[in-house]
Amino acid sequence: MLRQILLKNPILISIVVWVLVFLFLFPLAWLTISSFKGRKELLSIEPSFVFNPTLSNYKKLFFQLGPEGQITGTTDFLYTLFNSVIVTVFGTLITVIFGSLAAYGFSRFDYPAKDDLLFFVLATRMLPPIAIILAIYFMFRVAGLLDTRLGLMLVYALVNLSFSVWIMKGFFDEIPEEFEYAAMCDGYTRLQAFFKVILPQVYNGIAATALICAIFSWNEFLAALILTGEVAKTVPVNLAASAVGTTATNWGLIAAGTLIFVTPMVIFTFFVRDYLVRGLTFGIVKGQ
Amino acid sequence: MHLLRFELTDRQLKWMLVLPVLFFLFAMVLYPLARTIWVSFTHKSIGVPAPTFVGIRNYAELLRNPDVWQGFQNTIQFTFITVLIETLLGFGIAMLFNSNRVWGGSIALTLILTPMMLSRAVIFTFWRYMYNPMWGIINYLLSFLGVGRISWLSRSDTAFTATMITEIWMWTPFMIIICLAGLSSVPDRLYEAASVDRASGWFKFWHITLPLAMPIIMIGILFRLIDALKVFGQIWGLTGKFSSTPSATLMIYRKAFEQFNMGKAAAIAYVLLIISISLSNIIITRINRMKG
Repeated sequence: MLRQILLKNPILISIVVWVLVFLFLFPLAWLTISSFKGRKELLSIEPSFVFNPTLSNYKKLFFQLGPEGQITGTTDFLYTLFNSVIVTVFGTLITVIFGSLAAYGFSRFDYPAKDDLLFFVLATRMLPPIAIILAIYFMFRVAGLLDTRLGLMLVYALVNLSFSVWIMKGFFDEIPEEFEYAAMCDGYTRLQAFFKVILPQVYNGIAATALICAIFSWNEFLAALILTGEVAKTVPVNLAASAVGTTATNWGLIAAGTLIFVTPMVIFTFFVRDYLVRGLTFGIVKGQ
Repeated sequence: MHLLRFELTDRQLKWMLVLPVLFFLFAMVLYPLARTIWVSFTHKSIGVPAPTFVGIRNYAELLRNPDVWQGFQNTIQFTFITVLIETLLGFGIAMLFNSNRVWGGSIALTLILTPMMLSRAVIFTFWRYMYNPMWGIINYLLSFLGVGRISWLSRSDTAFTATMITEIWMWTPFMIIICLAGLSSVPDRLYEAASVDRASGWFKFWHITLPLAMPIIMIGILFRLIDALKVFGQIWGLTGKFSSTPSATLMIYRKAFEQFNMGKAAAIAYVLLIISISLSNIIITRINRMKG
């Protein structure tokens, strides 16, 4: 009887679900609120929900301020944000271009030991990254790639390639080969058929793959921490390093920085939601 | 128009498509792995230019070191507890969504997914503020439930619990969508047939829902386990690099970049690697058996 009420009553289920949504989003709401608080409110014993919002955290986040509050320069945060954008955009581009070509190859042609090759590609993502990054650190030191944006891009391309090859292979597999044959009968070469006939049909899939790769690169911490110093430092390294001690930490700055940093990813998530199951399981689970 | 047109045979083309990726992955994965295993058999003392080969000494010393055991125990405990709770919670919440009786269900689902797409290191750093015993919101909210002030991050056991709570907050959404995918993969006609036979709700759950949704849920669990074993940014963000409950990855980081003992760092990395591979193997075999 109770089960009947619990599982059949739309009002009750809706209330439970929306309470859960509220719980899951509460830390983000608190993050938003905190970013508009002054230092006194941030460190008050009784956390305040009503206060005078201030933009001073954001101002300090982006600009170095002189004694009278005038802007004297830009901050480390702005610089690391720039690094994050560059590394994410170009790392994702490399991944998507080479990943989709390889995915098309694996989808359409036979290779010796094809299954093993595909498994190898998948396995590169399963390994604990630290086991590889230790050695990449030495390789990069010799190659002069330590603390460069290019080096970090390569590492992100490495991690995302396996993922994009697997997912995009799934997208190509869904398109019947007859499409290319028809195009090739009309005088297209195979490459032209690929670019003009096949690719347009998987644009959505590629866009979703690119966004998921971008989200990964944007958020990555371990490689960024080990392989970068002052020059190529990204936002996660910068923010995680600003929480030192307890009273010396400027939580307003961290909250503002975190909010700026996560907002684009929240928007991206909205765009890729239909592909998330598929994306996060490397296309093994097809999702709705 | 057609001046630049060049034709490739399929045979040439097929290798041009995959070789760049394969070459890149081989160079950036297999070579580093080989290099790491070599380093794990060496020791480099300060002041000596070249590392010396020491055989399995690094591994032998690790096995005798209680801190290393503790680090692995932390990692494995963290992995199993968080993934277990994420799966149970995720399955329960997915059942609610799957009832199709939620108002604004698809908006609710999109919103609930947000935490997992955020940067661990960054968001855990902010949680450090929320866990603060003085001005943190968590103790404040708990005080309404009559829970006294907890110094979450200053003791290693509560700090570990705090890390797991935040991890569960962050990754339960993943298990929700995986379980939903599993639940919606069960064909409706099976439920209809069972209803015709007047099967009870429990019977349907145990004999239709669970076994048919399981293969997909297992894949989700596999991905969560492999991912949780890598735990690093979470601990760094919440308790810093000198955390008293380091994970295996954090231990490797400290050995390599704080104590500059690359040999030992590489040896721990290989132990972690072997644990990861065997875990994935066990689960992949189980998934295959379920399918077959």
